[in-house]
Amino acid sequence: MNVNKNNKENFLKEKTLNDDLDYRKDAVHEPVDCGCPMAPGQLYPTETGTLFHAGNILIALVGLPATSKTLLAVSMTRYTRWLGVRTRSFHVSEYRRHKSNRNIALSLKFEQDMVDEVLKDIIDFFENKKGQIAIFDSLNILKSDRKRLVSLFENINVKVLFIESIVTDPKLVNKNIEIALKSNQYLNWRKEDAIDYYTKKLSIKESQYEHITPDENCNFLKYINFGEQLIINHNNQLGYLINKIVFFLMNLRNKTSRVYLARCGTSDSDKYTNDEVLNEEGIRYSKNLTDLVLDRVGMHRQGKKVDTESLVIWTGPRKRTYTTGKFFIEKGFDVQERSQLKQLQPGSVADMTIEEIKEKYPNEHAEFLKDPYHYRYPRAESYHDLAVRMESLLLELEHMNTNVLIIAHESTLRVLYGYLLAYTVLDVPKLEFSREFLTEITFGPFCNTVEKIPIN
Amino acid sequence: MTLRTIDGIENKKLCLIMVTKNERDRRFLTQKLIRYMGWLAIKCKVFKDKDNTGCSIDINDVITNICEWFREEHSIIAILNIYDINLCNGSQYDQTFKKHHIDTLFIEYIGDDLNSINCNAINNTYIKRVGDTSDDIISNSKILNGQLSYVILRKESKDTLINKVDNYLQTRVIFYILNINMENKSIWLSRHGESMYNLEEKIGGDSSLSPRGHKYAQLLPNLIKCQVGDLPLVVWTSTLRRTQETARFLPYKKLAWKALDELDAGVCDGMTYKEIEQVYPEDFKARDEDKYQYRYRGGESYADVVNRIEPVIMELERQDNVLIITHQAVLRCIYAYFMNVPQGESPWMTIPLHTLIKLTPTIDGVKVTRFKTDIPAVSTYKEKGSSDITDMPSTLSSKYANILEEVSDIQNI
Repeated sequence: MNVNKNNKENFLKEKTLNDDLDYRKDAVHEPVDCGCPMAPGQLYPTETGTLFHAGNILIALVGLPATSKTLLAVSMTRYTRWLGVRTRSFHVSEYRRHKSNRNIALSLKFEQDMVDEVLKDIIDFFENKKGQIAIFDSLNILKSDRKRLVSLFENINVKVLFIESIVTDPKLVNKNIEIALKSNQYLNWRKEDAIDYYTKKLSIKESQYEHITPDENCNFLKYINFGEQLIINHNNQLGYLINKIVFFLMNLRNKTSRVYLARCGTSDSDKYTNDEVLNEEGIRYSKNLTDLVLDRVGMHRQGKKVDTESLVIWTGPRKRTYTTGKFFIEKGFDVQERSQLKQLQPGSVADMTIEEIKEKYPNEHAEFLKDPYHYRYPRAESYHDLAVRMESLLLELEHMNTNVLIIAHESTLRVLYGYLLAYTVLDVPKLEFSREFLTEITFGPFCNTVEKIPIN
Repeated sequence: MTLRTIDGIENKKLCLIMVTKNERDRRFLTQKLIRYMGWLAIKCKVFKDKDNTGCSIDINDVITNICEWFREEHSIIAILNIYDINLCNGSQYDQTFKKHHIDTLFIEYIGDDLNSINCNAINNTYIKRVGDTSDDIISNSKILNGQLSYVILRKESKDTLINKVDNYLQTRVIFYILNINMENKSIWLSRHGESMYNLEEKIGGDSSLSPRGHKYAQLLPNLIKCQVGDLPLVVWTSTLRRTQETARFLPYKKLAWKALDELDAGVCDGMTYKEIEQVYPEDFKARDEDKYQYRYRGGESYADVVNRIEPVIMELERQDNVLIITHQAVLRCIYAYFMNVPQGESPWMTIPLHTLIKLTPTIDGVKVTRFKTDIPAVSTYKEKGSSDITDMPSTLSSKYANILEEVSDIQNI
């Protein structure tokens, strides 16, 4: 795959010139205007760049601190971007962190100026950056806050949807406080001080909180106990895109789990056309992989036993992929064969080297190089086809609250990784997964993080 | 033939329990769900607690029947219609189904009849106090409780309550229901006017209308006006020249959808069927054998088109009156959705040029009316196994072959 390597080098060079993005960093907060023709899961291109005739939408979050608003904002950004919508999230907490080193009770004037600055950036995003959805991550717990937002944005022809996150389950509240205290804002704090400050802040806000009521006459969605219950004041004018977001939110869960990605073990000839079983090396790899994953999951569980409740394994449907999970089966784990994880169908170029492809299909190969994400060789699938058929699996992954190990072909791993770290169609076909590393992705409220762990 | 279906639901079993009080609403929702599942090739069956003569059937027998049906291969969704809601015991049904590894989802639609107004009042108070548990609002209906998976749609207050949905298939059903607009409306479908490429028997491309095609465009405003009167209407076209030229005299709001563009014929774009047969004989044959799944080199299959127009179908469900001016293959897919046409047959339907089709959804199905104009046009219908363009298929092998036969889709629900 020489050609691909060269491409990658060039690409990386470009990237390093522009910024220091590497393929281990979550790209969900990168600017949307990347010159990409389409997003990974986008069904069809449009000239205007806005999808589904939905117009421009401001999603303003509403809720007390520790109600997972940041997580909601970032997850919705990730998903809608994947669908091809130009979405960006704006987090007041991030602005505050950049502006002040003290982190604690800032003056009212300071807070107001800061919110104004965020709103200015949002308006700029709609008016000058072709933005379609902006997600405003702030408390917005006062009726007056919300009224102001509606009039401000309706003036520039942007519809406003409020998503109110309400947490009544005390277990969830505590969990959220713990997550919040891990954020950058409390980086150098003593734990007791942080908890003390946080609970105080919470009770003050709680006394001021005005829940959204129907008489405010705005579009709203109440998201209760992170998806246990949803109340939608569904207003037809917001359309398909909002229903798609509701669809996503029904599937989203507040996870503390991790996703592990690994290739399958090797077989003798490693061909697409014959569905071979693992060879000796492949079996050795499977054993090492099993030990490593159990080790990692165990480490994150602080020594608690890794049981069937804390880890499931999904594999592609091919023999060598499924049997890579055989040591997990022996240990009693749930190993599920998932049809969506079937590798990219290579069509007429199956099992050919790049040289053979160039010789046999020179025109097709030239077309492929122009757009590796969307191009289909004769009878083949493109990465885009793969992404579309994997959407249900991605949503299921958002739903899982246990660790998942996914053993699949490199093409499938690229799409999964591309979604979880918000990569563009230019990046996805170039991502590399060797058998030397296990990829560990940790869900975070602000961004997902990656670690590559060597496999023996 | 392989059917397109949603991935990852092979082993799922879901029973939708319709606890909607109003019979009209319940029947409407039920047939909509059947249609959608059919389009996605998901095996689905309706069960009810009354027989055709109106006699009640013991609900326990119905549940036993459902569990038996789920033992059949590929059974995925059962719809249980409950007539006597007051006797309904949600928790008991749920537990029985769970024993057979069948998930449940209760669906309640509250229209604007008297009963529902009471419900609404209660619920608005609920929303004001939200933060409490939901048990009090649910206990009102005596069917549902906070432990069950359910969705309640209230027309009057325009709100929806979704509780404890726990799998992908449930969320997919709810997503669909959220998009349904229960108002009376009609959908008008038309192909673009005859194009220059049609005259030359070429497929694809982005050619202009022929002189006769322009005539059709001029006639269309009157034809529509007679039908629609003063009702609001939106016109949807593709982004291709021939549909936009066809729509240009229509005095309504217009939207151009990229998703409505004609099936992409890839390397065959701009060729005639005869040329394709000569240049790509294997492809020509492969396409006739499985037209739904066949994907043109570098282009699309019917299955691909169905995928990309799903957002259009959802938006269509949400809208009031819409006129869609698009292309043969895309119209076949849209038509197949509304008329439950099987995947194997939909690519073979004839949809002539210069003909306006009106679809009116009713409680039990969709009524089709057609208006054939007197402006002549060439035929673009290619028969299976030949590259000839014919006026009419010589053998109408099924009731779906020619959509000018009025097929009204009445189901006994």
